[in-house]
Amino acid sequence: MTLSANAVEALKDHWAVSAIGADDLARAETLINEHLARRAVGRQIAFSFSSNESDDAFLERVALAFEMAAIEGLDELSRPSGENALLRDQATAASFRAFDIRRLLPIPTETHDRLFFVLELSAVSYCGDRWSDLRRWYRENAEALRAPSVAESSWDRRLLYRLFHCWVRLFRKNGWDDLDRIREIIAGLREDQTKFEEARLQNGSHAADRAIALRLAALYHWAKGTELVAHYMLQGQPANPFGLIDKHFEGAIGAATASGDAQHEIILRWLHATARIMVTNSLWWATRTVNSRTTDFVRSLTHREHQAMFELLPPQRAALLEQGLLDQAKTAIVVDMPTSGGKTLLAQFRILQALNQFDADSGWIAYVAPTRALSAQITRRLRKDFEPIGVRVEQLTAAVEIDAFEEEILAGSDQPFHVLVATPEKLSFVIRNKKVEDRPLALVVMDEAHNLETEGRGLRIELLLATVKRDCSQANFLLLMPYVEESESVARWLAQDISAGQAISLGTTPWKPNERIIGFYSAAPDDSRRGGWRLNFETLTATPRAMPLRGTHRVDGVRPIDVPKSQVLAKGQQKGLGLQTAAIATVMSARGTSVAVANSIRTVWNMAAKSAQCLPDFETIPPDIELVQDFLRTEIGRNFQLVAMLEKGVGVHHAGLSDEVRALMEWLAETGSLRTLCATTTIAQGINFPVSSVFLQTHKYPYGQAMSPREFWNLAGRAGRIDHDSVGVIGLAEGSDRASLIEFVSRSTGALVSRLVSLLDELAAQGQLANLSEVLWQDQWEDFRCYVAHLWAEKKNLDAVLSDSEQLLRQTYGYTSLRNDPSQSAKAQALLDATHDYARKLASMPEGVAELADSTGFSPEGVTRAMIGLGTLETKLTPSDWAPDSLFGDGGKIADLYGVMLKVPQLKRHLEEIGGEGFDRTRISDITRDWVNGKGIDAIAREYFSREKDDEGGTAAITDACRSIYRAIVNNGTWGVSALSRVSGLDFDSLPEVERRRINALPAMIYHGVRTEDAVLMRMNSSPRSAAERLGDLYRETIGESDGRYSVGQARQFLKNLSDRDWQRACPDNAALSGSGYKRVWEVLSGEGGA
Amino acid sequence: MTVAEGETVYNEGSAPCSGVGLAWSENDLNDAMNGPVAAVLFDDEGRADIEGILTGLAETEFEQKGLRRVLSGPDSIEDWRVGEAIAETYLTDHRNCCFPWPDGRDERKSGSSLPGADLVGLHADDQGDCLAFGEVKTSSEAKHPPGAMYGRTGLKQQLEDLRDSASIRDGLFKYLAYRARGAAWIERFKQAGKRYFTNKSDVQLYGFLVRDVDPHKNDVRVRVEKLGKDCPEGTRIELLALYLPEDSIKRIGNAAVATRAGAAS
Repeated sequence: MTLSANAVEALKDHWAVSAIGADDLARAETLINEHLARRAVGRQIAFSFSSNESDDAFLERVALAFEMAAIEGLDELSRPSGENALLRDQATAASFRAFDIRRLLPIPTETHDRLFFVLELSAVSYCGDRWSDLRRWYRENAEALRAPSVAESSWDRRLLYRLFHCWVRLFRKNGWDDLDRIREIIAGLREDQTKFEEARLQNGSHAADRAIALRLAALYHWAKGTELVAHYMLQGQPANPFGLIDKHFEGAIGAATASGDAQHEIILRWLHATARIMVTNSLWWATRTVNSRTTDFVRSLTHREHQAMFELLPPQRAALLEQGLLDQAKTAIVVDMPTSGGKTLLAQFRILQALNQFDADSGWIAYVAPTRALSAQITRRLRKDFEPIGVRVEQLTAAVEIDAFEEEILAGSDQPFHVLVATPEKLSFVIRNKKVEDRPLALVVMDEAHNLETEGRGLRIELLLATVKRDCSQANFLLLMPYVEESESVARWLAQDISAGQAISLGTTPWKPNERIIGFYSAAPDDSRRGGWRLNFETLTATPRAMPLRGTHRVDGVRPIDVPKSQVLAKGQQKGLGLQTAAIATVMSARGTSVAVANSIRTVWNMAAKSAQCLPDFETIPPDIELVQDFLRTEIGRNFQLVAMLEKGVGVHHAGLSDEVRALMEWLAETGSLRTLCATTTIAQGINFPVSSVFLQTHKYPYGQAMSPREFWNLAGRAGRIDHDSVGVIGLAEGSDRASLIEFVSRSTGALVSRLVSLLDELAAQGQLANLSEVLWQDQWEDFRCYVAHLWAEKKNLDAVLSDSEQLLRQTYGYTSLRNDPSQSAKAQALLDATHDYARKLASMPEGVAELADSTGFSPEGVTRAMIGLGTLETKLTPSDWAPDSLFGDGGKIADLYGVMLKVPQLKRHLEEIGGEGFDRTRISDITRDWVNGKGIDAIAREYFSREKDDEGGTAAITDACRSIYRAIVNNGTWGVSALSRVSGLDFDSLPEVERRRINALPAMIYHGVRTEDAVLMRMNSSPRSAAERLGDLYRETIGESDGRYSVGQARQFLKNLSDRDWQRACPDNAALSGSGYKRVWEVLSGEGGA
Repeated sequence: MTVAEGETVYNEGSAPCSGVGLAWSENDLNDAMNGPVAAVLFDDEGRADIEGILTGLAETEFEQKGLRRVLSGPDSIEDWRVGEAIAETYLTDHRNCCFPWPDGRDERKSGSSLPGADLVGLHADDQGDCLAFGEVKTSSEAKHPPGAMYGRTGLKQQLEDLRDSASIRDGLFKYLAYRARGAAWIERFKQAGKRYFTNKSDVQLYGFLVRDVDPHKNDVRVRVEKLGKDCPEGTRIELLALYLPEDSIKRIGNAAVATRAGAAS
C-alpha cells in the first residue's frame, strides 16, 4: 500500500514516538531539515542555523523511536498485504521517518558495524518506500558500500561479506550485469563451501560448533533467498516468487534465532520485508497480469544497456497496482502526479494495453504534448523504448496543416504507425479531417493536461478533447498533470459512463522525488570591501511544498559575480534582478546545473554573458559541449555568442533560437554538461528535464501576467534530480515586493477550471453575459467558433445543427460543469443561445466555408477573409504559380500570398511580430525565399535584422532572425501557404502527379527551410538543415528516383544506416562539424542510437 | 516456586552502585537445579526446530552434510550456561526482573557479532518498569576477583560498555522490541521504553558472579567503587556474587542433564 500522509501523522500517537515529546519532535524536524540543507548546499550557502555536538545523539534517539514503531509492524511487511493494514501502514510510515534521520547520521568506521549499518539503512529505506532516496545515498556514500576483502576471513564472514556485496547490487541496480553477477557470486559461494566450511566447524567446543553450524545454516538460506530475489528482478520468474522467498528467509531467521545471533536475526527480518517489497515494486510484478506487449516492454527495459529499469517509484506502483491505471473498464483516467514522479512510464504501460485491446482493429494512440520541444522529447523517449518491441512511433510537425509526407505517415499502409505524437492543434486537424482512416483511435494521452485552463490554448485543448469524445467513440483518455486537486470531475467528464472515470491522485502522498528549499535572494551591501555587495538567501516556511527553514543566509563571498554594487543596489533599493539571478545561478552551479529564468530574451543573454564571464574554465571541455559548439558554428555562425558561452558551460533557451538549438540545450542540461542554463519564463511550458536549482528573476511572463501557481510549481518541481540531489533549490529575486511574492508562493494550486467557464465568468462579471453573441467574434472565442463550424461542416443543415447544439456543448468540460451546477445555469444558457446564433451566422456564409475551416484550421471568418483576399489579387493565381520554383523563385507569387495572409486574423498576429524596419509582405517573402533556398541564419540576420548597437557576433540580429523564422514564418507562413492553396479553389487535380506532389510539399519546405522533397524527408527525420540538401541527394542516389522513396520511415532507416563517412560526404564545405559530429547530433535530435 | 534468596555474606557500596555477596547451601542449589533453573536451562519453549532447519537446507543448494553432522549430535551443557540460568532465575525471583530473551540456547560467546548482554529484559522498581541488562560470569577460580572480571570479554569491560554505550543499549532495546510483539509483557516493555526515551541512561544493570569458592568481598569491592564513579544519572548497577557450595559447578551441569534424561525416561 502506498504511504499516506495520515499514516505519517498517526505516528505521533505511537507510544515510542510520543515518549519523545512534541517539542523534541518539532526540534528533530527542524534539525533534519537544517542538516539536509547544510549537507546539500552548505558549500554554497552559509546557513545561519546553529548546531551542537549533541544533535547526532538526539537524532539517534528520535530515529530509535520511529524504528520501534517500524519493528512493531515489520512482520506485516513480510506478509501479503491486507492482514493488518494499520500495522502495515505504521511500519511503512515509521520506516519512512526513520530513514529521514538515519541517512543523515555518521556511518560507522568499523567494518562490521558499517556493513550492518548499510544493510539496515537500505532495508529501512525499502520498507519506507524510499528506494529512490537510497540510490542517491549510495551515490553520495560510495565508500560505505565497499565489500571487505574475504582473504583470511573465516567462512561465515566470507559468506557475510559476499552477501553484503550482493545486496548492495540488489539495492543499487546499476543495470542488468550488476544484478546478473549475483548469480555468479552465490554459485561461487557454493563452490567455496567445500574448501572452507569444515575448518569453521572445528571450534573445540560442541556448543560453539553447534552455534556456528546454525549460523551457517542461516547464511545459506540467506544466500538462496538473495539469489531468488535477483533472479526475479531480472527475469520475472517464477511467476509467484513469494513462497520460495518466504521459505528461505524464514529458514534463515529460524536458524539465526537458534544460534542466538541477534544481529543476523534482526537484519534478516528487515531483509525479508525488503525482499517482498522489492518484488512488489518490480516492473515484472506490476505488469504480470497484462498482455504480451507489456511483457516484451518490461524485458526490454530490464535488459537494455543504458538506464535499465527494474522497479517502480511509489507513485507509479500505486497507479498500477492500487489505482487501476490498467483497468480496461476505465475509459478516462486522470493522473495527478508530482513533477518527476515518472508519468511517462505510466503512459507507456497504458499505451501498450490500449494497443493490445484494439489490436484486431489496428487501433492507434495519440500522444499530445503542448510544445514542439516536448513533442520531440517524448518522441525520442517513446521511440527509444518502443522500437525494440516493434511499436512504431511517428511525430507530426507542429505546423497546423498536414503536408504530403505526413499524409503518407497517416495513411501508412505498408508500415502503419502505432503511436502518433502531435501538438493539440495538429491532432485537432487530424481528427476533424479524419486523416487516419479505418482505424479507431484507441487512446489519447494528453501530457501537461493542466494547460486546459490556460488563457492561450486552454479552450483549444478542451475542445480537442470534446471533438475526440464526439468523433471517436471508442477512444480512451489518459490525462497527465501535476498539482491538480479534485481531478475526478475531469475524469467524469471524459468518461462516457460515470463509473468509467478514474482519477489517480498522487499529489498528496508524502513521497517526494527529493526535498526542496525555496527562498528569496537579494543583494546586500558588504563593507568588508570597497563597493562590496553580497547575496542573501532567505529561506521560507510559507509553503508545504518545500522544507520549512527559517533564517537569512549568506550566499558565497563578497561580489559573487563581477558586477559593481550600483548595478544591484541603489540607495538601499534592489535593482538588477537579472544580474542577481545570474549571480546566484552561477554560484549554485557548483552543485549541478542551475536554471536562471528571466522574462525577456535580452535579459537572458545578459545573464548568460555575465555568468560565463564569472565561471572558471573547464579543466577539459566536455565533448558534448564541443559537439554543440561545432553545431552552432556550422548552423548559425562561427561568431555566434552562444559558442563562447558554452565554453564556460553556459547555455541559453528562448524563442530566439531554433528548436534544434533548444533541444540541444535541453540535452546538455539533462546530461549535466551545462553549469547554468539561462532561459525565458516560457521554459515553464516546456521544461521536462531535471536540474539542481531554479532561480527566477520574476514569476511574471513578458507582458506582466503572473504564472499560475500550478505553472510555477511545475517549473519549481524540476529543481532536484531524482538520482543526484537530495535537495533541489528554488529561488525568486526578492525585488521590492516581498509581500506579494510570499502570497504568490503560498497560494494553493486548486482544481482545474475550464477556460470556457472562466471566459463566461469574465463576461458575467462585466454584466455582458447576455451579449455573448456580440463578442463571439473576438479572438479568444476563435476556437469555439471553429468547434461549432465543425458541426456545421458535418451536418450542413441549420435545423440539424440547432438540434445538435446542446449535445455538442455537452461534450465540453466547461458546459458540463456549468450544467451540473444550478447556480450557473444562466451561463450555460447564454452559451447555448450564442451557439444557436452562431449556427445561424454560419448558415448565411458562402457554401463550403465551414468545410474549409475544418480543412485549413482557419476560423470561418478567416476563410472568408482569405477568399476575399485571393479574389482581389491583381493577377489571379494559376496552378503553375504554386510550383516551388515559381513560388520561391524571382518574381514568384509568395509576396502576394503573404499579402492575403496578413488579412487573416489567425496568421496576422504572428506574422506582424516580425516587424522591424520596412516591414511588409515583400520583406517576409524575401526572408521566406532565402530561408527555403538554404541561406544560413547568420546571413539572413545580417541582411534583414542587423542593427547598429549589436555585438560582434550579431546576437540581437540572430535572435530577431530566429524569432521571425521559427515563430512567424515556420508556423504561420507554412500554415498560410497550405491553407490558401485550399481556399484558392484551384483545380490541382488537373496537374500531373509529380507537380501535385511538389505543391503539396511546399508547406514542408517552408517549415524545414529546404528546397527539395528529399531534403524535407531528411529534415523530418531530424537531420540538421545545413546537411539536409546533400543528404537528400545522397538519399536519392541510394534509393533511386522512384516515387516510393517519399516515405518518412524509409528515410529514417536510410539515416540510421549512414556511416560517419557518409555523413562526411553530406557536410557543407568548411563545416565546423565533422561527419561523425553530424551523426552524433542527429542521434541526439532524433533519439536514435541511445542518445 | 522460587529459588532461595541465600544468606547475605557481605554488602558493598550504595546507590547508584552496590554489591552483595550471597551464599547458597547444598539444599538451596539442589532445589534450584531441580526446579526453575532447569526449566530456564533447557528452555523447553524456545527450543529450536533443528530438524526443520536441516530439512529446509536442501533447497539452498548448499551441501548440508557438515551441518547435519554437527547439529544432529546431542546437546551438552556447559558451566557458563548453568551460571546464566541461575543468574536469570535469581534476578527474576528476587529483583523483580523479567528476561524474555530465551538465553538458554544462547551461543553468543561463540563468536556472535552483536555486542550484547547475557541477560536482557525488564526490571520493576518504584517508578514502574525499566530496561534491565545483566552480565554473568561463572568461575571456580580461587582468586578474588576471578580472572573472568578482566580482559576484552571480562565482566568489568562488559558492564562499562553497558553503562557507557548508548548504541549497545539501543541495540538490545531494539532486539527486545522484536520479541515484544504480541508478548504478555508488552505493556511492561512499553513503560520501560518510555522511560528509556526520556533518559537513555535510565536502566538497571546487573553484574552476576556465580562462584563455588569461599565468599570474599574482594570479588566485587573495587568494581562497585569504580562503576559507581561517573555513573550517568539514572543508571543503577548492582553486582551480585552468589557462592555455591565448594566445587559444585563442575558437577551441576552434567547432573542437570542426567536428571533431565531421567525425568524424560
